[in-house]
Amino acid sequence: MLRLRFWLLLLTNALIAQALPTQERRDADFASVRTELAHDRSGKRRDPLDKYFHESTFHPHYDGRFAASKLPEEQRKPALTALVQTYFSTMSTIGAQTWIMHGSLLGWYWNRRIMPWDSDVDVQMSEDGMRELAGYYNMTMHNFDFPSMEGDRRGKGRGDAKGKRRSYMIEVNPHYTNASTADLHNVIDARWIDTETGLFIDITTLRRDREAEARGYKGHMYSKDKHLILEDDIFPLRDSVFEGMPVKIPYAYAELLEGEYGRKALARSSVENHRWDRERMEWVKIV
Amino acid sequence: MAGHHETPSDPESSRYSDSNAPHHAHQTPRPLIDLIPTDWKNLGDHQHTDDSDDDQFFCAEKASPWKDWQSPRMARWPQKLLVPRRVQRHLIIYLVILVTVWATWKWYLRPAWQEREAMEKALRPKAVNKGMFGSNLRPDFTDMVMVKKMDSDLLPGAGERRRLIFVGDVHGCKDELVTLLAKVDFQRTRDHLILTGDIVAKGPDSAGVVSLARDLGASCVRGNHDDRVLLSAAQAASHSQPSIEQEKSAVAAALGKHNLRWLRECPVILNVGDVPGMGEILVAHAGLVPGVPLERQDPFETMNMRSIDLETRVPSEEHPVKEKGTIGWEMLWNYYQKSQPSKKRQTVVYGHNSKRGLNIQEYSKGLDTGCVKGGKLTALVVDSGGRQSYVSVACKKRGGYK
Repeated sequence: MLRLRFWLLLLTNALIAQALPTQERRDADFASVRTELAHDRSGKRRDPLDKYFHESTFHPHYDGRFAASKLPEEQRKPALTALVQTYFSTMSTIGAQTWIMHGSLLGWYWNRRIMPWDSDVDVQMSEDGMRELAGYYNMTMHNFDFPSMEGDRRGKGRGDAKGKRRSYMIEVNPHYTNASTADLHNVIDARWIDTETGLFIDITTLRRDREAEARGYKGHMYSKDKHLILEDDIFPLRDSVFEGMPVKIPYAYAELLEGEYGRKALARSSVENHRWDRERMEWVKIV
Repeated sequence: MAGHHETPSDPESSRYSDSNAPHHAHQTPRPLIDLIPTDWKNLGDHQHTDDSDDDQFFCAEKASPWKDWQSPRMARWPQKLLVPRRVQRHLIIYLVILVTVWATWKWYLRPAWQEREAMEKALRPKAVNKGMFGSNLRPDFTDMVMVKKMDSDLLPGAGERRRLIFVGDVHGCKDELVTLLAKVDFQRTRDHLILTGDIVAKGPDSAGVVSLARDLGASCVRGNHDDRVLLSAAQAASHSQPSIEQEKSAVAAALGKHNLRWLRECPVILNVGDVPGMGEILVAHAGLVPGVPLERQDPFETMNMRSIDLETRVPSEEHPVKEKGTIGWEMLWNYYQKSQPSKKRQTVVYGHNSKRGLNIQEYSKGLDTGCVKGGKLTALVVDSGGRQSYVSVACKKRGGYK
């Protein structure tokens, strides 16, 4: 009798457990975040299963959940500028320490602007900053009102006569807690996404290399996209301006650029079908 | 083998000493042939017995016959060449000259010539059009003064007895700075002190050095360590994140508000102005790129450079490596100044390169003699006639503070 009661109890417990809703880790898929599009253009289907962020099917620098095609070149530039401005403004409010790197740093070096042939923006973030984003800001939307913007796809729609409203989203890769560079499909820790155009900023965390530190190499750091960086080259950060916004610049910006792009990148007068105009201080397309 | 060389091996000197011997006063006719000493015949054996280590002697002689080429036995072998003796002797001299000339060419003249050629090429206007360092919009930072012109009242005018005292990388070594100023007989009313950067950090008393400099009304430039300290201070003040650079933050905290404000006003480049007999003097902590105007010099490079790339004129904090096509920035600077009309030539006073040490050239004066590492603290004294002298004091603590 006692035995039967035990089994009955076990059975009811099992049934209750199954009926309770469980928390399941899942992607922010097209259905859950879609704005205007009818079809998903994210590359989710062809991507490996453990990859979290999916680049669009038409271009790796667009999010296919929010855009169906590339922006025309004359619209891309203002959209990227707005992306940078809104990102740094938001991060400054949040208090997450972030700074520009790689191609964007090179653009800053030449004239404090995004290089006209660049279709992405590179930033890095401190470990504390990323923890803050993941803990309190994941999947949050941030709205900005713009007087008017050439990059607008729809031309009409939301917004009033004064200007347009745009929504940007912070999305953190749940794999950011995995510090291993062997996690090849999740090297980007978070994204700042323009839900209007599908353009985004890749955010990577600059992590302390604890293995190297254990071996006695103090101040060795890395990001999951396999950039090895010395702490002394990044910190203390400098205050400058990029695309008209106050931004942080790595301490040894010139050494970082020389190391990544070579000395010529700091001196050349033409590159990527553009030439440097010394009077206007900008890259001009060679026609 | 020392004994080997000391043995009398010249037959001539033996003959003369024989002829002066007293028994020759009798003038007994003796065949001249007898006057020739024969000691040398036994010389080899004699030495052999003298040498305590027979094996070693034997081996060494065999290994290097040139060691005793003067000794008759060795001198005899060229006779087999059937060349007159005088020519034989000259042959060796010629050989030595030839080797010397070849070595001078290979290790001195040719590299110097090649370097000159490379510098010449680097400074050609054609190269500038291909892309040259300093074409960009100069990076600009909050709380950083790029170029400052020194008050011309502080300059030693012609006929005056005023002096400028430049001191390199003090690094918080206050006692040494005080000793050095006493040694050059520094007088506030007459002399003006200019610090060439890296005034603080590493050493024992950063705050003391800045306070003293403020008291003396000194001029200064920002060094890479000053820069780090100032940035750390700004980071701590903005409450954003605790600074990782704890050492620099500690220095910033020790300096205090007023000292930090003074340090922040130190420009990256100080234009001292014209000194009679020396021309225009500039002060920068690490160096300047020739051919780039002061207002276009990159702040990071100005505080950190050691070498410069000949092709692009892009500087780097790395030491020069010939294989990489880089040379010391001061080499190109001096070469460039000499190519300019004499009125336009500029002299840079700098520090930063303690590994290289005192590095005085016509248009560049490197003053970092590594005081904080246990070296010296050096001052360049320039008087109203443009005469320069160097005075230094040793680090008080043996082995340095770091």
